[in-house]
Amino acid sequence: MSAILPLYQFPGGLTLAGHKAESLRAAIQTIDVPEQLILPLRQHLGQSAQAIVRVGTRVSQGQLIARAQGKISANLHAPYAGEVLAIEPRPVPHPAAQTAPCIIIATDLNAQSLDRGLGKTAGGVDFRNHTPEQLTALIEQAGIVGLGGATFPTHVKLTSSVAKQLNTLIINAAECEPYITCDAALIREYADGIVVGIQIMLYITQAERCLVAIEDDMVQAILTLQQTLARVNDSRINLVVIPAIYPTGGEKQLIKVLTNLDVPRDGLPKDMGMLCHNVATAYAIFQAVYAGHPLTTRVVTVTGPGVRNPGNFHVYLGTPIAHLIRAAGGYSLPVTKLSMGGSMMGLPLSTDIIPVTKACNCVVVEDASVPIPQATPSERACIRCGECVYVCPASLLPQQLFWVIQGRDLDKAQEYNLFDCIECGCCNYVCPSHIPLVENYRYAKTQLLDRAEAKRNAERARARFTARNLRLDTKKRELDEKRQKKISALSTSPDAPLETRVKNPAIAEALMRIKNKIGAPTSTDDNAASSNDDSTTNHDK
Amino acid sequence: MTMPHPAMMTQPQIMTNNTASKTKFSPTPHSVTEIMQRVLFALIPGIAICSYFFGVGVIVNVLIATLAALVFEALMLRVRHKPLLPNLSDFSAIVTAWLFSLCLPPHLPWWINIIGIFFAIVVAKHLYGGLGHNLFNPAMVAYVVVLISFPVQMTQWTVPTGTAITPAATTPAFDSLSAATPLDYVKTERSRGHTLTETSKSPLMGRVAGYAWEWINLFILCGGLYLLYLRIIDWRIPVGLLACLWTVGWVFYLLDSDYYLSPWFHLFSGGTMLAAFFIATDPVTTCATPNGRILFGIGIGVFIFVIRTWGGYPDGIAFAVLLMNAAAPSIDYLTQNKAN
Repeated sequence: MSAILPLYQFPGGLTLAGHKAESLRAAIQTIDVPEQLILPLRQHLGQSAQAIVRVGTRVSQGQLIARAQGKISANLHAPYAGEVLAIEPRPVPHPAAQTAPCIIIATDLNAQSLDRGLGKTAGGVDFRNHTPEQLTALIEQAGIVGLGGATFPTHVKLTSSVAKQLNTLIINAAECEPYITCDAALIREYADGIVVGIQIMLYITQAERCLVAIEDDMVQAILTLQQTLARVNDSRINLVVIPAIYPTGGEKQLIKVLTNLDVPRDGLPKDMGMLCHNVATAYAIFQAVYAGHPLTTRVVTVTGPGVRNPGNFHVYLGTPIAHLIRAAGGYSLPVTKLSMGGSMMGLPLSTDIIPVTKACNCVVVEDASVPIPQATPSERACIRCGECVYVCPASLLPQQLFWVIQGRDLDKAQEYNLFDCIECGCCNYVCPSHIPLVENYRYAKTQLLDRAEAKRNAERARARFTARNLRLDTKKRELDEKRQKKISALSTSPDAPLETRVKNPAIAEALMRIKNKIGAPTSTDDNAASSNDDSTTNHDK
Repeated sequence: MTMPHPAMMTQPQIMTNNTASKTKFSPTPHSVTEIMQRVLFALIPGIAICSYFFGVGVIVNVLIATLAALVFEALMLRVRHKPLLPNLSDFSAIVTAWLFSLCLPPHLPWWINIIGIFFAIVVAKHLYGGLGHNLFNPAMVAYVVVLISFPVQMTQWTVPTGTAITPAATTPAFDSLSAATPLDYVKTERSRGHTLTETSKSPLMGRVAGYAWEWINLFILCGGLYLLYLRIIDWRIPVGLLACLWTVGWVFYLLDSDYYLSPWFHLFSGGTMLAAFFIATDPVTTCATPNGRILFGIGIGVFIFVIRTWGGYPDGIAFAVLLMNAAAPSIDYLTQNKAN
């Protein structure tokens, strides 16, 4: 039942050399667990997870060690059995090598790893025995996030889409960035599990159809998927082969290619009846539902001319990159650059003690043998050639954005749709002056976000201040009113003696006694009580 | 879920639009130095043919200009506390020098050359902010300044090699013969009331657009096409410029072919091809938006025609370019695509 799906083009983009063959030569390898696993509490978009273990706690493989906080968050599990060594800030993948709170587990090397080979074939309980809500809860418990790199919590994406009418589920198998082959390797070996994962997602979302988008240069993956889909014979799932243009794997670009629809600026694909998930996420869902495995490992590509044996590996989350590179044969000197991610959007790392996180799909090691276009460090003046405008897939004006950001005019940057930038790096790649454009935009974005945050805080403070003033004023007013009322209620004439105005008889009596006492002729004798003229005593003042 | 029977293979559901896989890769990006070097390379045919027709003076002008440009550039970089490398090695000063010196008559005094380069590098380029920040094309600023300041020396061109002019036997021994450029000649003759048919009889007027100059423009056109092929310049500017100049010239030629020059004459005379492919396409001083670039080219085309036909100068390239340079920011603002 093959049909022709017309494909469209997104604006701009580049056709880049893939560098994929080296890492696809061998099957996905497993590596031994390192001595320490470093697990950042935040490996996803949204709020950090909160640790529920303490230093010294012994954990088993797959045990929940940090719980999701807030609406958009994800759980974290121990990838291997061991003991919690510390909960402290450690360097995490970040352009400035910042630190973040991490749980460090000293692994028990004697513990047996739970059988993870279950994933290869589809066996076990039929997912249709659960309700969609139960399955979503399972996914939430497993801490599954988008494994394409964005790490958005999957259960949030699935639940928010169920409310809307979904017509298309898009599975993103378009690994468009050079060097990255983890998805291609995963499909090649685990296509069965992936298809079941897709079926689970279709069951949860009740989407009418599923389009699995794959690039035309992923030949073996295409063949495997073809065979698997033919076997499964689910008429809802269709394989679509798309041209390998970077960055066709971007969500908005992929939707444009498949449906010619533009996702509106402040909108999401689900508003248009579509949902996009990475193919590795589908596999993680399958593992969570069928084997009860939480998200504790992922496939990582280690490649580039700077490693001896490039390839794909099943890696425990928290594995330091140094350990991973050792498994790939070690560095082939001299190494010039280490990045997490591909060659376009990869994060340059300053150290290899940084751990593999849920977002890490690839580690590229470059050496001096490969001249990289951006290798020259000197940034020149912008000559206004306009190449960046031609390649931008988000139809922005990178040149203009650069000029206004240099002029620190952030409002204008927002006017030029700065937040539409997907930071794909096409503009960086083509710039003849080697200007780090994406870094400029990131800077401007964080400045604007900081400003918005400060504004929100200021608004909040102002609201609280106004409310407080209002409250105090009201209180004061009420008190005054009460006092006035009391004064007027006590007497008709303010000159009447005090003891007649006081309501309480005991007090009135006491006041009388005092008056009488003080009214007595000069006598130190307290008992001398004699009635006096009231006119001589005026205690009511 | 049991394992399915392996023989149960159905037609795989693959959807595609049957386009062949694109194996043509995006070109490797150029660096600024590489761009400048290619521009120089593309100018070599033009300089060669120019020196064939006008003698070694052309080469001398180019050399003096290049040297002066490098010296002034180094001086300004020092004064502005910028490192000499890589700024000096990005060849941008040399490009300015070559474009300027190609417009100069072959026997121009060397000091006028240097004054021009001074205005180009020091005033028009660095005093406006340096590479990437200048508003006006430095070579054109230089040309206009020396043209206005030294009109006699700047209009003293020589007879190109191979022109069918033989001096009379009685003339004493000479170093060279001076002559007007074809455009200059046409303008003077027109003001004297001669028609084009009469003017065309002169050996200065070649087959299409003036002897020697049609060859020079042709060779520069080849260099320009080479740059277009390498995607170093944007096609919108030369196409806009040449199409507009040709069309406007053609309209007026239809009106009176004895008074107005033919559109092909316009295209292949004077500095048209140099402007179309090398001067107007200078990325710093041209428009930034795609539509703006087309308008930019069109604007220059119009001004070239207007100045040549009714203006005071035989060739209006420099003025046309400078006028459009001034208009470029406004055109950018009007043609930008802010809404998505």
